[in-house]
Amino acid sequence: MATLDERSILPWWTVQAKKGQVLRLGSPAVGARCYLALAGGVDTPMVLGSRSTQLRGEFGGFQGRNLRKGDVIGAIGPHAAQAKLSDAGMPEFGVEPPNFFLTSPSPVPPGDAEATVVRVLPAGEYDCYEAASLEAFWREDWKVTPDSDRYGYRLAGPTLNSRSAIEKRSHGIVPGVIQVPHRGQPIIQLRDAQPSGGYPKIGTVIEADLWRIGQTRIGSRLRFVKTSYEDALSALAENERYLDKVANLVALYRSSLLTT
Amino acid sequence: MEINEIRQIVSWLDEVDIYSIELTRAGTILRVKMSNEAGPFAHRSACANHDLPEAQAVASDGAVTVTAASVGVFLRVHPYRASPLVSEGDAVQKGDIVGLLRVAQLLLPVYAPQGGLIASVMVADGAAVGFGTPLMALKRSISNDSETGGQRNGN
Repeated sequence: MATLDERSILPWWTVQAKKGQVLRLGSPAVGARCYLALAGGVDTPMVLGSRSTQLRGEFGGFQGRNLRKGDVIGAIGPHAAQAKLSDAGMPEFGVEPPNFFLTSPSPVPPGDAEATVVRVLPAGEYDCYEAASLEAFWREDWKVTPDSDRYGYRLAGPTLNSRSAIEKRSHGIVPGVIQVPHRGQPIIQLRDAQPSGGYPKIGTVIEADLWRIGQTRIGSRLRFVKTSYEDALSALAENERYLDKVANLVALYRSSLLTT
Repeated sequence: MEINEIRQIVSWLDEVDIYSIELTRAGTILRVKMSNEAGPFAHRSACANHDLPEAQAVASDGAVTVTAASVGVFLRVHPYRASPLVSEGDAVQKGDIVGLLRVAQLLLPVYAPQGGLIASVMVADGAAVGFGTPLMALKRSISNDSETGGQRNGN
C-alpha cells in the first residue's frame, strides 16, 4: 500500500507529487518488493553503466551502502517534453502489470496456485543427477528459505543426489543458474550473482522469468518447468513486446494530452 | 490542416454515427467529438480535457451519473487488488478514483466528479464501455456534502 499524504496510490501508477508532500510505501500486497520510479531517474553517480548499489562490493548507488534514515537523494527530473506536462499538471494513470499480458508457464503436474512458476533450462551437470532427483526437481514445490536475498535464493525441498560426486573447478556463472551444493538443496543465483562458482549446475532459470523470482517472497514456494532454448528466447521477446507496447502507449497518451 | 478538411471529416462522422475520432499527423493531432442531441452523448467538446470527465448528467436531486471519458474496459477492481475501488454505499470525495478504464495496457482513472455516496454501479467489472457510457450514480450525502474535501493529484 502506498499513500501520497492521505491519498491512496494504486500499484503500477504514475502520479505527480508536489514539494512537501509525503509518499509512504508499505509492504506490497502482491509480490515481494515494490519499486519507486522517479522522472529522469535517481540522481546517483553511474558506476559501470548503472545507478544501483552493489552492497557486497560497497560501490554504486548512494555511497555504496543501504539507505539510512535521513539520507537525501535527488531525482534527475523530467526531460523537456515531460517538464511541459508537469507544468500543465501531470495526469495520473497506470499500466497493466506484465503478468496479465505475458503467458504464464504452467507446471506439470499442476500444483499449488500460490507457487511462483518459472521456466528452467537443464544446465551443464543436469545429466549427472539420479533419475529420482531429476523427477523430484520438476515435480515438487521448492520453499524459499530465509537465507535468500539479491545474491541468491536458497531453496528447501527434496534432496538432489548426483550419481557420483561432482568436482568442478570454479567457472563462470550468470544470474538464474541453479547450483546444487553437496547437501543437495539448490541455490538460484540472482541479480547480484557471483561471476563464478564451483558448485554443479542442474539448471538455469530463463532470463525472461527472473523478475518472477524477484517478486517471490521468502517462505513462499517455487515450481520449475522445463523449457527449451527456443522457448526461452520467445519468452524474452514477449517481455520486450510488453515493455515496447507500454512505452509506446504511454508516449502516445502523454503526447495526446500535450496537444489539448 | 485546412478547415475544409475538418468539415469533410465531421460530415463523414455524422453519416456513420462515430462519436469521436483522433487523427495524428506530423505536428498535428486532431480530435473531434460529435454531439448527438438525442443520444446519451449530449455534450460537445472540440477536444478532450484530461481533467474530470466532462460528461456528467446532473439530475434534479443533485445526483450525478459518472460516465466514461474514453472507450475502454471498465474495471471496478485494480488487477492487483482484491476489493473494488468503491462499492455501493461508499462515501467518496471529489476527485477520488472510483474506477478504472483499461485502454490496451493503460489504466485511466475514473474520478468522482463531486463528493457523495455511490448510489449504484451500473456497469459490470470487465465490461467494454464507450464514450459517455454511464458507469455509476452518485448522490450527494446529507452529512458530507463535500466539494472541498477532495484532494486531487496532478491538477
